[in-house]
Amino acid sequence: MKKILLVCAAGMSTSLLVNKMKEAAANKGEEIDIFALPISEASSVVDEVDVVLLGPQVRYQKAQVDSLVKGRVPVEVIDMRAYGMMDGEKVLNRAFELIS
Amino acid sequence: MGVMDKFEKGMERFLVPIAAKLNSQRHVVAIRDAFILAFPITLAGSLVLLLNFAILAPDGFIAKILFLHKLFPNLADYQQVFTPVLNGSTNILSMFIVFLIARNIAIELKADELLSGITGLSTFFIIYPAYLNVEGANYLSTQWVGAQGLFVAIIVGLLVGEFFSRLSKSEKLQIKMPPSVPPAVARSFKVLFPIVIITLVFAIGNAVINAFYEEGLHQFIYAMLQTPLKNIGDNVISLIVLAVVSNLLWIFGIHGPNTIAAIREAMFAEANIENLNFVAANGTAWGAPYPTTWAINDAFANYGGSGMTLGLIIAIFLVSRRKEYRDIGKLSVAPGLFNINEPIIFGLPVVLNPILIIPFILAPAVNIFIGWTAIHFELIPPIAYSVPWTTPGPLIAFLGTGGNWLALILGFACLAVTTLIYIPFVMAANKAMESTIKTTNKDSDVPM
Repeated sequence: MKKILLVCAAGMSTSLLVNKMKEAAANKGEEIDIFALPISEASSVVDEVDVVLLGPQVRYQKAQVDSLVKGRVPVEVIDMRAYGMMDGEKVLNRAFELIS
Repeated sequence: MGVMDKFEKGMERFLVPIAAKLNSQRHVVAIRDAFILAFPITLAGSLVLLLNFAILAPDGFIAKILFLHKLFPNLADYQQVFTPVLNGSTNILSMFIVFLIARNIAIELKADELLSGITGLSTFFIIYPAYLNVEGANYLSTQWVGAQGLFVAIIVGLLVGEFFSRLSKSEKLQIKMPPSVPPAVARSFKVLFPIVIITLVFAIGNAVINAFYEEGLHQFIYAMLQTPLKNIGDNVISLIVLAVVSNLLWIFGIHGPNTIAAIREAMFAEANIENLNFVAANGTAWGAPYPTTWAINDAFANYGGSGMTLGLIIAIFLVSRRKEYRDIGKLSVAPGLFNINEPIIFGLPVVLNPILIIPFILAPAVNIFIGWTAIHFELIPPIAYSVPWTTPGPLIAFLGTGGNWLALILGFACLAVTTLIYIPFVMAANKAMESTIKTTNKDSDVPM
C-alpha cells in the first residue's frame, strides 16, 4: 500500500486535510495510507513513505525535509489555495502524479 | 510584474530564509519542543487548580451555580487534597526542561537521547545550591527546580546536549566491549567517559563561580539573564510587538506563533508559573503577581487563530456577497472555533492580500490593548490560569480569570470590535476583486 506523509507545524490543520484526502481516496476506491506529522517526528518514518507533502505554512522547512529524504521519494509543498480550501481530491491527485 | 508580486518575491528572498533558519536552528527548536512536550504537565496542574477553585471554593463559579457551598459547609477544606498537583508539575518544570532540551539536542545530533537527557538532569543538580543540613537531615531548596531555574535549565540542557552528543561520537572516548557483553551494558560503557568529563567540567565550573559569586550559579543567571528578559515581557508594548511580529509572519504564509515560540516561552514561562502558584495559594486570580503576560493575547486577541480571524469570518457572513468568500467562511467556522485558521489564511487568502493584512495585524493589537487595559485598571483579574490555546475564544478569558463573568463579556466585546475592524476591509477586498474581474474581462474583449 502507498503511503503519503504530510508535514506541518503542530498537526492541527493538516489533519483536517488528511481526512478530506482519505474521503477522496475512498470515493475513488483507492487504498492508501495518509497521515500528518510535525517535522520533529517526521524523521523516524520518512523512510517508509512514498511521497512527502509539506503544508504551505512550513514551506521553509522543505530544505530540511529534502535532507531527510535524500532524493529517495518526491517532496513538494502543497498548493496554498488547495490547502486553504481543504481540497482533498486535488492534493490527492497531485500526490498520485508525484508517485507515479 | 505588479508591485505586490515584487514585494512578495523580495519577502520570499528575505523573510523565508530567516524563518527557515529560526525554525530549523537546533538550539531554538530544542527549546521550543521542550516546552511543547512539557506543556501537558503544566496544563494538567492548571486544570486541576481551576476545578479546585471552581468547585471546591465557596465562591467558585461552579460551586455557586450548584449551591455546593450550602450543601457542604466545609467545602474549602477539600481544596488541599488537590493543591499538591502543582508540586508535581509547574513547581518542578525546570527539571523537565533540562532533561527534554538535552534529549532534543541529542536526537538532532543522532546521539543516545535518553542518556543525554539524564546527564542533563544530573548536571542540573551538580550545579544546584548545596544541601542545607538541619538537625542531621539534608534539605534541598525548591527555589530553582520550578520557574526560577528555567534559564539554568535551558543553558545546561543546551550545553550538555551538545557536549554529550559530540563527545560520545569520539572514537577515542569510547570503551569498546566484546560482542558477548549485553547491548544495554555496552551502551552505558560507550558513554561513560563523556559523562565523566561533563560532570567534572560542570563541577569545576560551579566551584569557580561560587568562589567569585557566593550566592551561586542559579542566582547569578537568574539575576543576569532571566530577570531582565522577564521584565522586558512585562509590559503591554512588548505584547503588542510580539503579536505584530507573529501575525506579520503569517502574512507571508509562515507559521508565526511557532516561529516566535522559543523567545515567547523564555519571556513568559516564569511569570505564568508565578501566577499559577499565586492562585494555588490564594484561590483567586485577583492580585496575581504578573498581570501582563502573553496569556492576554490568547484570552482576547487570538479568537479563530492568529489575526483574530473569527472576526473576519463573522464580517464575511455579514457583508460579503461573494460566493468564494462565503464558502471559505463556512469551511473555516468549525476549525476557527478552536483557533485553527489555516483554511481562511490560505484559502481566502489572507496571505499577501494587500487589503486584509491591515486588519489581520491591527485587530489583535487593538484587542491586546483592550484586554490589558481592563486588567490594568482592575476591571477584571489577570489571566492567571493556563488554558489550552485551542479553547474557543471568550472561554479562554472566562476560564483564565478563574471564572470572571465580566472577562467573558469583554471577550465577546473584543470579538465585536474585531468584526467591526474587519468589515470595511472585507468590503474593500470584494470591491477590488470585482474591479479586477471587470478589467480582465474588458482586456479579453479586445481583439488581438
